[in-house]
Amino acid sequence: MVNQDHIRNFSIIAHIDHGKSTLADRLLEKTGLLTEREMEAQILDNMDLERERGITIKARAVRLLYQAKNGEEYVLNLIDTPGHVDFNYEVSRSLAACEGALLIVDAAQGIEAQTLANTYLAIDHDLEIMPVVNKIDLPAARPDEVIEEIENIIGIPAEDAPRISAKNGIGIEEVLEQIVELIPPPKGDSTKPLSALIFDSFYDPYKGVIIYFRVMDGSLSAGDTIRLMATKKEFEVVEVGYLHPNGFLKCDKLSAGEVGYLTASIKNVSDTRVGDTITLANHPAEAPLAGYKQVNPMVFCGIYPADGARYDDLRDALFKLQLNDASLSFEPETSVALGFGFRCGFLGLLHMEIIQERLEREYNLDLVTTAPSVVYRIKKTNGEEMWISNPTNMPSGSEILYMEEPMVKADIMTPTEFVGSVMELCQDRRGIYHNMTYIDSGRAQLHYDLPLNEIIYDFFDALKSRTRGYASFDYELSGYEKSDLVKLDILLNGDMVDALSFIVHSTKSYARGRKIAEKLKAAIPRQLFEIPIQAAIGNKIIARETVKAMRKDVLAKCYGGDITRKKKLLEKQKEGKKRMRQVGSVEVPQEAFMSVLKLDE
Amino acid sequence: MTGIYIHFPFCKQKCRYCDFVSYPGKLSEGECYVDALISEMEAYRGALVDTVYLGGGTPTALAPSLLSKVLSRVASSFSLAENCEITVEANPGTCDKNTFSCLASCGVNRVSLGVQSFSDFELSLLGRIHTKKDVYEAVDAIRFAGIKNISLDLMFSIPGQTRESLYDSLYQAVSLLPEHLSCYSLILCEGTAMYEANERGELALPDEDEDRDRYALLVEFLKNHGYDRYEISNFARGGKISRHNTKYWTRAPYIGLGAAAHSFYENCRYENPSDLLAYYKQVGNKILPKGEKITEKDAMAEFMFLGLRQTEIGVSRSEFLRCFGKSLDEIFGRTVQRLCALKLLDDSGDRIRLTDRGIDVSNAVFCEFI
Repeated sequence: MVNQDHIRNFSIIAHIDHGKSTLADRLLEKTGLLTEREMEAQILDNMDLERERGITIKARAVRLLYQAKNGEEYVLNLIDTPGHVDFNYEVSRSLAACEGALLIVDAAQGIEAQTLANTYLAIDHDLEIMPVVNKIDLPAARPDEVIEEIENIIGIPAEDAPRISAKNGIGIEEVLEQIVELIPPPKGDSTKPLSALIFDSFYDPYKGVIIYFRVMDGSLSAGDTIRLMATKKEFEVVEVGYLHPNGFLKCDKLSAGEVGYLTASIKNVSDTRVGDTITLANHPAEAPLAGYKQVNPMVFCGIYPADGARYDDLRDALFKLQLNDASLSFEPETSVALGFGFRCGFLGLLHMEIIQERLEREYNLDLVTTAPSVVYRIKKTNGEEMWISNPTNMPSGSEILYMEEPMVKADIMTPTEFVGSVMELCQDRRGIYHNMTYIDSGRAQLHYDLPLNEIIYDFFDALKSRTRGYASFDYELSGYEKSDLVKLDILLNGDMVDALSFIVHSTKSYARGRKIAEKLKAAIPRQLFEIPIQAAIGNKIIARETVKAMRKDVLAKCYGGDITRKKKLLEKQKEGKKRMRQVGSVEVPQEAFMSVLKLDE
Repeated sequence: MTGIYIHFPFCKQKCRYCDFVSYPGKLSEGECYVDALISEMEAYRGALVDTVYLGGGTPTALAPSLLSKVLSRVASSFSLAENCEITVEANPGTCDKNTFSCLASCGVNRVSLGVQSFSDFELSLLGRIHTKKDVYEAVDAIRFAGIKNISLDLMFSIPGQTRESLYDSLYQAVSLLPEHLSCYSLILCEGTAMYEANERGELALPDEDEDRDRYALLVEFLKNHGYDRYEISNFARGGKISRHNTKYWTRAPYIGLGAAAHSFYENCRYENPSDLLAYYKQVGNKILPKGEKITEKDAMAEFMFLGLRQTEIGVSRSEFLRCFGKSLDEIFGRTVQRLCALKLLDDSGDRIRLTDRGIDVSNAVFCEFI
C-alpha cells in the first residue's frame, strides 16, 4: 500500500494548443517510465481524432513514480481532463478527483476563456492551483506579463511559476518538484466504508467496462462486490489496478487517496455514470459523494446513411459508440427525403462533430446529417406541454400557445480591438449584453446571454473569423425563455423537404430563408427541368430561387475506340444520379443537405 | 463487310486539349511500328472490307512511303470492296502535295483534315502546329491529287473565341466546299494541358448556355450552306456522310489495328494495349487482343445510345426487332414515352430521334437506356 502522504493527485488545465499533452509526455519521460524511443508523441491522447484536433476527449489517469530531491519517492497521479466546454461536467468530476491542478498558460498567448472557466471550476473544487508558463522558447514569449496576468485575473501568486518549454524539455524537473511541494496529499480514511468517485469509464471488448475512479475513503480489492450508488447496480470486481504509461497494471488493493481502474464484467457504460459513487454492497457508505448529475444532450440532429442499405451498419456503429459514451443518445426516425435514420443527441456541437467524424472514419459510413436543433419547450393551447428536438414535429401555429428556447450564459474573451466586432456578432445572434471586464490593457471579457440555437450553427467559426482566431468562448446552459419562434420549411419544385425544415426566431426567418434558398441553388445541379426553390412559413412563401434547366450534357465525340469508355462514363453518370436523394421529381445531392448548415460564409 | 481502323499514335507535338493515345517524339519508331501493323493484319487476312480509316495521332506525321507501305498491305491482305471508302486523317502542318499524291496513288479517296479554326490566335491557343495558310495549302494539295471527298474538323467554344470568329471560321470552311464537316464543342479532358489551365482559372470559356447557343447557330449556318447534320457533331453535303464512322453508331463490325485500337466483331469488343512495347509484344506473340463479350442488355443499351447519335435517322423499331428478336417498346417503351413527354425524344412511327433539346442533354437521355 502506498503511503497517503506520498501521493499527489493532479490535473492539467490548459487551453487547446497551450501544450498540455506535450507537458504530460515530458512528465512521463522524466519519471523514467519511458524511453524516448518508446514514447509516441502525446501518449495521453489515444484517439487519432483527438490528436488531429489537439483535443483530449476522454479523461484518463496515469500513475507516475517520482524520486524527489528530498530523497523520497512519490506517486503522482496525472488525471487528464477534456478541454472543451461540451464536456464541462466530465471536467468537473476529474477535478473532484484531484487535490491540485497545473494551470498551463502559453507565454505568448496568455490566458484564454476556456482556461479561465476551467480554472474557476478547479478553484470551486478547492484545488491548489499551480501556474506553469509554457513555450518560453517562442520569440513572442512574454512570461513576465503572463505571470502578471495570472496574478491579476485569477488572483493567485504566480511569481514562482516554473517557466518551461515542454517541447524542448526545459524546466520539467521544477514542475515535478513543485507538484510534490505545493499540491497537498489526499485526505481520506482507509478504515471508513468505501466511497470512490467515478471520473471516467469506457468499454473494452475483452474486459467489459473499465471504470476510472478515485478512492475517497475505504479501500477496494478484486473479488469485492461493489454497488454503484446512482444506478444501484451491483457487480463483482474482477480486477483492480492502475494505469502505467504503457498499459494496465493489476494490483491487490486500492485505498483512500489512490487513483486506479477496475473491471467487473460490466456490459454497458450507461451503468457506470461519471460522477457516481462506488461503494461496497455489504458495507456501504452512508451517502454518495456530492456532485453527481445526469448530463442531458443539448443539441440534436438527424443522422442518415448516405446509402440507405447501410442503415443497420449505422445503428450498430451508434450502439458501439454509445458503449463508450453514455452522453450520446439516439433513437430511430424517418424522413421523407432521407429515409431511415436516427435522431441523435449530443452534449454540444463539438461532441456532435466528433461523433459524426468517428462514424465516418472508424465505421466507414457516408452520412447525411440534418441541421442541428436544440430542444424547444412548447405550451399548447389545449394546455399540453411538449418538448421537441426535431422541427418536423412542431405543431401548427394555431395549436401553440407559446414556445420557449434554451438560453446560455456565454463568456467571450477577445483582444480589445475586436470588441466591436464581437458585440456586433452577439447582437446579430440575439445576444443580451451583460457586462464587459478588462483583463489587461489589451484584452476584454464579454458576458452575454445568448439563445442556444444561435450558437449551434456556426457561432464559433464566425467568432474566430471576426477576431482572426484570437477570441475564445465558453458557455453554460442557463434555462428556458419564451421566444417568438417559427418553423421554416423548404420546398423543391413544390414538394416540402422535411429534412431541411428548421426552427428559427421570427425576426431572422426572412434572412435565413433567403440564405438557404441561395445555398441550395448553388448545391443542386441543373436538371432536365427548371426547379423552383422556395422557403415558406406555413403557407407563406418568404424566399424563392430557381435552378435553371440544364442546357448542356453532351459528348461531342463518339467513335470506335471510345464506345466502352463512353458506356462507362454514362454508367458513372447514372450511378451519380442514384447517389442523389430523390425528393419528389428533383435529384438532390447529399452535400445540399449539409451546405445549408454553413450559413455565415 | 467490315471496317478497318488503323491507329497511328504519333504526332509532332501534343495539342493542348488532346487526350488521344499519341506519343510526340517517337516518330523514329515509325518503321518498326508499321512492321508491327503489317504482321497484325495477318490475323484478319481475307476479311471483306468496305471502309478503311487511318487515324491518330497524326498518320501524316509519318513519311508518305511508310503510309503507302501500310496501304498496299491493306489492299493485298483484305478483300476490298469496289467502292471502298479509304480515309486518312491529316494535319495541315504535316502534309504537302507529295503526301496527297502518294496517298491518292495508294487508293485513298477521302481526307479528314484537322483544321479546328481559321483564327491563328485560336490555333496557337489550342497548341496546333499549323496556321490558316497551311489549311488552304493542304486543301489545294488534296484537290490537286484528285481526292474528291474532304472533311474538315472544326471546333467551337474555344477559349477566347467569339461568335464573330466562329462565324468567320465557318464561313471560310464552307467556302472551301468540303464534302463533310465535323464540328466539336471543345472538351476539356483530365490530364490535358488545357484542363489544367482551366483548373487554374486561366481560360475564358463560354458557359453552357453560350456553348449551346453557338451550337444552334452553327447548325443553322451549315444547313443554310447545304450541310445536313446527320450525327451530333457531323455534317455532310450531298449525302457524303462518313461511312466508316457510321459503322460505330450502327454497331457494324470493325477491326482496329495498332496501339490502343479497338475492334468490334461477333458481338465482342477488343482493345489493343496503348503502350507501344506492350503492343509490339502482343503482335510478336501473335496474341489476339483481350475481348469482352457484350451482354444482350448492354447490346441493347449500345443500340440506343449509339443509334440516337444519328440525329437524322435515329433508331428504328424494326431494326431493333431484327437485331434482338424483341420489340423496342417491350424493353424501353416506358423510357421512350417519358423522354418524349419531356420533349427530349421525337417518336415518329418506326423511328425515334433526339429533339434539338434532346441533343443538348443527350447524355442524360442516354443514361436512361443504360
